[in-house]
Amino acid sequence: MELAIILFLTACLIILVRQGLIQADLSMPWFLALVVFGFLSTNNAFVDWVGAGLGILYPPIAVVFITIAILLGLITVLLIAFTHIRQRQLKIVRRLAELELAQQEQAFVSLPHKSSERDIDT
Amino acid sequence: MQMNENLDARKTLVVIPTFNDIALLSTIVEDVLALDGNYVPLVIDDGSSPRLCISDLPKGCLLFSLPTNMGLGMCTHIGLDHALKHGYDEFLRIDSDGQHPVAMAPDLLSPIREGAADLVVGTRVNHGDGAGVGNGVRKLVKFYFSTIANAITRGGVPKDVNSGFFALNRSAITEISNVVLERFPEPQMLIIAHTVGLRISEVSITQEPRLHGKTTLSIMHATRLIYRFSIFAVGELLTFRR
Repeated sequence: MELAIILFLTACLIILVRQGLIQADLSMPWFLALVVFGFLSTNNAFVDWVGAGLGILYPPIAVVFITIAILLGLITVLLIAFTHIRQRQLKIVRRLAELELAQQEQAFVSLPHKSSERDIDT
Repeated sequence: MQMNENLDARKTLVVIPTFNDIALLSTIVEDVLALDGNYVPLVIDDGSSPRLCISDLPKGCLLFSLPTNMGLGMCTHIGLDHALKHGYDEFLRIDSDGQHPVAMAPDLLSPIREGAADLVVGTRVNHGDGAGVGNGVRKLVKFYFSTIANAITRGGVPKDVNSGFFALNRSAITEISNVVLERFPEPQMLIIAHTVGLRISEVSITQEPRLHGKTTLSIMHATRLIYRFSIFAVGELLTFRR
């Protein structure tokens, strides 16, 4: 069961990255966490130890899980929004580069001599 | 004779991305300008500190300075956009550390000019020679990338999938500029080129020893590279399956 959940989350993460909704760099800590907890969750002793350590051995655990799920959802939404902002930033930088280089290229073209002797003042 | 005239008319954009590696930049630009043909060097300063100025470079060179370090993917995109917009016939990328033999640029472009390839990679025959942790990491990354790229494309990519010395013709420039390239874009670009049916070729080159600066490839860096590439590779595999 634990493994199925981990595999499901990993598949979701890969799809989000593949669809360009989350940038690959931003997904790395998530992926590492999934791999580490995926392995650890197969060990019952570890799960019992964590449960005992965090004191979640009684029914209200459901509330904790729901809270964690909401937080994870919130983080995903924020990651997607952040990725969108980064993508827009990259587009803006590309556009700025295009404009600045077009000016330099224009300065080259307007000069009468051959390309290998071109000069430019910026 | 007619063919030579046509070749002389070709405009080649030589993109040289640099990040805090300016010691040999002027020499590289001069070497590019000294090549026989219409080669236009474009230096892209990827957020170096201090910032690179046009006066630091020989005359006849284009320069764009990024405000922060945005990676090789962005630098390559800027070069591709410029080549597309201003009618360049060929795109050539060279590293700024002086390890790529500029004099071999015409050899690299030769399969493109003969109409035999759309994308040509300069395969480094002496890459990874030597010892030490840095070389070990480089060999590991190269082996991993090469194995995965070959598995995805069924041997359709060159031996050296990490080489930053490569050339594209106009149709390859158009195809590659349509995808979003990551920070170390070479293997990603080769897989995409193979997927869209571009003809890929390779030319053996001997990499010069590094005289200035140091490689940016640390163990942490290598881990991130491998992760990014793995995610991309899994995505490509899923796409193929569909």
